[in-house]
Amino acid sequence: MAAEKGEKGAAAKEVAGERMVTLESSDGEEFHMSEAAAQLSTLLRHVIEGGGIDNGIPLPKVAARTLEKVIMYCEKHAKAAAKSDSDPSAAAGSSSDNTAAASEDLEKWDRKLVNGLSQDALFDLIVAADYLVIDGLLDATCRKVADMMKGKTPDEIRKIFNILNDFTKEEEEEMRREYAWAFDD
Amino acid sequence: MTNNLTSQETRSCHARGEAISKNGRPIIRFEELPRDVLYTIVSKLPPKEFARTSILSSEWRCMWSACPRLTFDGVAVCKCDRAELHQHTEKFIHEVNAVLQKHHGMVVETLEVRIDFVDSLLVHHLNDWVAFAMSSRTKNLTLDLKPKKFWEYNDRYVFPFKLLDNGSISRLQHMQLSFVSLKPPSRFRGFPNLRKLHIQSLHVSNKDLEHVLSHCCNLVWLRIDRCDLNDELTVDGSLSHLLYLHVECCKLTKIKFHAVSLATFQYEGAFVPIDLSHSSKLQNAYIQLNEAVFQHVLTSLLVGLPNVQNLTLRIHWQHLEKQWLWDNPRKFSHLRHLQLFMFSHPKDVDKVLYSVSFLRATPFIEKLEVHFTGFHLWLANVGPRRQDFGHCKYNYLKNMCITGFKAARGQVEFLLHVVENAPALENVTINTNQQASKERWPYGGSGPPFEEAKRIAITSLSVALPQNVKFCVI
Repeated sequence: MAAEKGEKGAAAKEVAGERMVTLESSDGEEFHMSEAAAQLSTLLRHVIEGGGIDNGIPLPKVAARTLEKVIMYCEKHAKAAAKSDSDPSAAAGSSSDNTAAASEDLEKWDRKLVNGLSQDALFDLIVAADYLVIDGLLDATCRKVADMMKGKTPDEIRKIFNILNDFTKEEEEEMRREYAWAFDD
Repeated sequence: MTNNLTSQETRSCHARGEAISKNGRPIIRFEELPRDVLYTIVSKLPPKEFARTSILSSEWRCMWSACPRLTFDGVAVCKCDRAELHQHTEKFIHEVNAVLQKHHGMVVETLEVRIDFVDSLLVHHLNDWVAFAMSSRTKNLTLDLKPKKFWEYNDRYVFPFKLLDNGSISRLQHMQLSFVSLKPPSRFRGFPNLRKLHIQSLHVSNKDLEHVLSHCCNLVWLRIDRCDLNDELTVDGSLSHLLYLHVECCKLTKIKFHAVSLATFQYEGAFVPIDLSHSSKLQNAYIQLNEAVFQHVLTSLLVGLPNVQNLTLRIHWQHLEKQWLWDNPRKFSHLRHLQLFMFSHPKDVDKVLYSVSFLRATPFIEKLEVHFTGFHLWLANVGPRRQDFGHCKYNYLKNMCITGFKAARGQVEFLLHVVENAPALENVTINTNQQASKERWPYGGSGPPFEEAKRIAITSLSVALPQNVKFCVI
């Protein structure tokens, strides 16, 4: 329960004392995200520090549905980071169950986020994470793609990812022989 | 030869048709991802599967042969649990050797070995693998040999400096060394192109470490964790590119770095003198200390980190002294944002207000966050009043946030003092919930008196706060 006094209705730029950043997707949609979350993107961080955020930041390489996911990720991780800053069980000299559990939950959340995406959306998210330089998101999405590749034969991988095999049968055989150590199990 | 090249080109053209999705946007095909992103993806595959990607298409083959990255993670290679890893050391050695043999004579940009160093059998092979890295022009070398229960083991892997020549030393850009022993030869001149270094649980003398670090003049990122030097760490060499420094859980008596570009400093450990006085551009400092007197810490930080802009300080076992004295002429002249975690002993409940005197050293502060901990604070009506402290102006303070507000007199007086002396104040938030740690209430009954604390906050401050200040009590 909050008792409020003073000016109601924060300015568009500040919500509950938190600075917000406006982003514009490639298809012209406007999105808002907290500055703390935007800091997770090295690119955005530089733009904010350079002072260029007054009229919103255009992102011609990121579509609306992808930007939505990016913002979800950043807000979630920014909140988790703020929370862990005030976690006492992160005591010097020991690692606690609390922090381990918290980061495990965050990992689960990341996996859920990427698992729910179509291949199309996943690749878009990878490109966006790379462009915006969001290391954690790039890592999580790339991990998902690697997981999709694990344990599959080259043919299966080609099928899933639409890779055209431009080797002749002889060439492929020769390479299999050359890399026999990689194909022996 | 020419024929081959032409026919390859033609094939790639056909391979690169444009797939269009239903809504007319081209679907990004795997091969259109930026190359370093593709590397990131495949480097998460076990080494054999990574190698297998070379036959997916000619494009993939080029990528593989141009720059293989070899990552050997004990648990992944042996397909076992971490707890069982020690039984599979021989298998690991065998697998790594098999792969490395296939890369003989090739450039291997990245080599990562992650295995528990609990078997001296590994020494000979690790030496071979380091030699391989040196001859394969490796830029990024990781030897993560720290066992899960590392405190149970005394022996470290002795880093084979004798296998390094000037060429291989200058190629290294990124290193992680965990559970290694470093004894550089006397004429060792550091790693001139090393940009990122993470050292963990090393056996090294402080002189040797200081010498090595002083000569890594291109270092950008440095993390030192669980290295017990039991001595000073004074790095005199100018590390003018160092941006990030993190020292964690090391037994040190002093830290000093000459890092004029340092932007972020993180420290966890005992309260020791920290000298980063050359770091005039220090933006962020995150300091967590085991045990210390609050006032002593602030005095020490005023000397060591005078230019910091954002400071977060947590003293896990904090003591407060009963003194107003703040005749220190030094100031944190760039400090804009201060985040404090105030842990209150039962015996210090009446000393809370004395902590406010540090604000004399932060004349330009804009945002202040204080997170209180300690159930003894609840409605504790002891301690001095703000009139005893006197006046002090905080002309730039706009934002104040308190959590763990338990209506202790010290907390109320602290708030009132700040509010009365901050003409630019825009926003005050008082949270009766404890954010810094789990709320403890050993008295049973209906629990902590949240409502009473909220009432006190509202009544005390409603009068003192000007109309235009946004005030929120949770």
